[in-house]
Amino acid sequence: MSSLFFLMRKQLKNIIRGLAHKPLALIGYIFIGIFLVAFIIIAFIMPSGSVRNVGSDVFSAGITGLILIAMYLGLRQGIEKGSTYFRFSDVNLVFTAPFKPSRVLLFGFIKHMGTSLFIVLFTFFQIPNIKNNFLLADYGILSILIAVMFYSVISPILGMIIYSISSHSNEKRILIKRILDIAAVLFVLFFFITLMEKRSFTEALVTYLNTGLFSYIPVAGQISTIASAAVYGIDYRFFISIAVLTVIIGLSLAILYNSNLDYYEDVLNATEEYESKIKAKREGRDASMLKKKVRSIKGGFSSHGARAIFEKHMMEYKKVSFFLFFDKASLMVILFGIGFKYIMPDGVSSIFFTLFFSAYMLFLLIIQGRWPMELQKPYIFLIPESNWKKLLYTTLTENIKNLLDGTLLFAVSYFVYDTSIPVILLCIISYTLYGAVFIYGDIISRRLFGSIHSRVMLIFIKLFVSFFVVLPGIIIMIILLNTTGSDLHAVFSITAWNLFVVMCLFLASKGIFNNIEST
Amino acid sequence: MLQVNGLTKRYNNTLAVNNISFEVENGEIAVLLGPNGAGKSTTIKSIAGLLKFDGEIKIDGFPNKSIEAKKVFGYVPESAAVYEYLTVYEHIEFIARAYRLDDSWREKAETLLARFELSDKADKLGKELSKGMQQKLSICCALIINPKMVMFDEPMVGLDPKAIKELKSIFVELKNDGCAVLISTHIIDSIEEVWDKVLIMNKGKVILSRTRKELEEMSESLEDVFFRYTEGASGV
Repeated sequence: MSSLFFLMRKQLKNIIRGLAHKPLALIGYIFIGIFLVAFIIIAFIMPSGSVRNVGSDVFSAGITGLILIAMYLGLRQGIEKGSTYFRFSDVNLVFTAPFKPSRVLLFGFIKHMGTSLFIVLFTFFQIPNIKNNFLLADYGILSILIAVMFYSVISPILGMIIYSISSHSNEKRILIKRILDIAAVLFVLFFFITLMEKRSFTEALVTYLNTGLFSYIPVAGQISTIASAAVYGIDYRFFISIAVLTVIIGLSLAILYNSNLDYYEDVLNATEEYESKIKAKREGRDASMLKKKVRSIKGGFSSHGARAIFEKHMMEYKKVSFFLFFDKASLMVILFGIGFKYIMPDGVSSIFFTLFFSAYMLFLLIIQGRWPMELQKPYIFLIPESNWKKLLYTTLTENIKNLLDGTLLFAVSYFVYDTSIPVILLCIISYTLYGAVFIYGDIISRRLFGSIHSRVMLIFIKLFVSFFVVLPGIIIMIILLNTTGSDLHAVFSITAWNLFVVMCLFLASKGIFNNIEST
Repeated sequence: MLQVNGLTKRYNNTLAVNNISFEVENGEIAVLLGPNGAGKSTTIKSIAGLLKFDGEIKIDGFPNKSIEAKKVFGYVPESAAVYEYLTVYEHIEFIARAYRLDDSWREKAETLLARFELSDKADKLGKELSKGMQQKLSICCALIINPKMVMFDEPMVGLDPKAIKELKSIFVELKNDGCAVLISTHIIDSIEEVWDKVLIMNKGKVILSRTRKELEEMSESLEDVFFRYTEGASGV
């Protein structure tokens, strides 16, 4: 085991030493660190329930629902692909070394604890949101963090166990899947029974998810109880849940390395997939393109020149997306964009919040969009077409997708907000233009800061560049909104500004395809 | 010595390796050939102890997944994956510790690093290495343990001519030291001078197992035999 500790110690030391040799990166990380610490302090000192005080039962229902869905999806994924604590370097150098598999598993588990700590740190970003809407009890934040910690630790273990049980035969795999699916169907069925009794969707959902039965479901029930202590306060159930989860983790680990010493194959598949995802992220590619189910499509190319790039992207979309441009990202933008209205207090709620929040979501989605894949391959640089055309057609599919997502989002918004069709139309255009700002802002950031080694740092830079260029439009909009009181004037001003910014960024971006070093 | 008896590996309904048996004696260089999808990678991963399988694999007389077998088994995987935040030298130090090698490893490490022109890169991090350098490091990690059985999966890919030359001499040195060597490759020319036994796989089976002497008696080259058996009828 000492050599495995040697491995972890040396890697940590080299990461820290590496930062010391890159002052720019170090400054960036210090900045991120300060930002994070400030967020943690704010999370602890800010008052809770100050914006509005949503009932505790809504909080616990939300947590229970989220955990049940996450566990169902996690277990389904576990059956197909397993789960892993390891990297490919571990497979090549540690799995083949003379270690007992139990020690290797412990090594993976310890490594994963580090990842869990990171997840807990990033949970702090959600705390202000929670505190704005719910009145937290003493040690409420701590309860949420402990729940997140337990979930991130236990979910890979469950994935590994279910894979090792189900991977032996196809029949077992199908049986376990069916059991899970039947449980999910029963879950939905019982909800509908409650819905028929209550005649109100929200009331039925809250009542149903607060049913005592759910707290007895292993893992999900305990995590939900721990997280719900954030609003109900810490009592004996909180400690019992911690004890139960600790026992479950211990037992699961014991099962893994006592009854199944041969788990290397079980994690191999997931490790390969994990490694591909990391590679895709580093290269700025969309990891969803890695998914194995690719549909065969009819028809080939019909265009020539730079248009062929656009056609290629369309073919790729057709192969991996069921509804062409409508995918998980579209759903997320629409759900979060509309959902944001219900998070904001009634008096404050406005279609502009939906526009800005969905634009923010779009930023997060675009930074891992599909077009940067082109930059990793030589073809785009070699195609004998002007840079204008290449840039236009390379980014065209993303712009069309944003237009369609925006249309869907604001078509729904029309029914949610009290507003007019011209405002909705301008919101759609503005949303699409935000997408274009992020795409071409991404290119500018790559041209200016592409040599920065850290992807996290590059994302922060892109965030600041994008924020900097869209800010004047928002300021003009606020001024107009306050002086004229017209939503139409306000949204028109922001659309005009975004159009101006997009044109400037497009002009500045064209050099990206001059040579591979420009990226 | 490597002994593979009745190795069978099935992925769901696909039979990847179908009841194969072969041996690689101490001081023998065996080459595993076969077209894509023949079952070579599955065989190699099974020998490396990464897969569950039916049958028996023994390294130096011990079951391949036992600690005893792993102590004497060196493995150079097809794609070298090194630790991003470990230096070249730290990789070797880690392996030396993991395999509980005595202090003489340091001297051997210097020699290996020099042979593969990595001495001046000893303090470079894994993430700073090119693909070729990672492959060289992977070879050094496999050889530092003084293996009694070593398996190379496409070892020449990404190597420069000097490293290829070094590796070929290392094959011969390993053989002379009594090590059992198994090389899987598509580049038949690269092992033409060194091999003692050829194992050709196709559709999950070993369709041909011949020694160099046997092929010489038949006046056939390795390449001729490979194409004849993989493109033509199944086997021997």
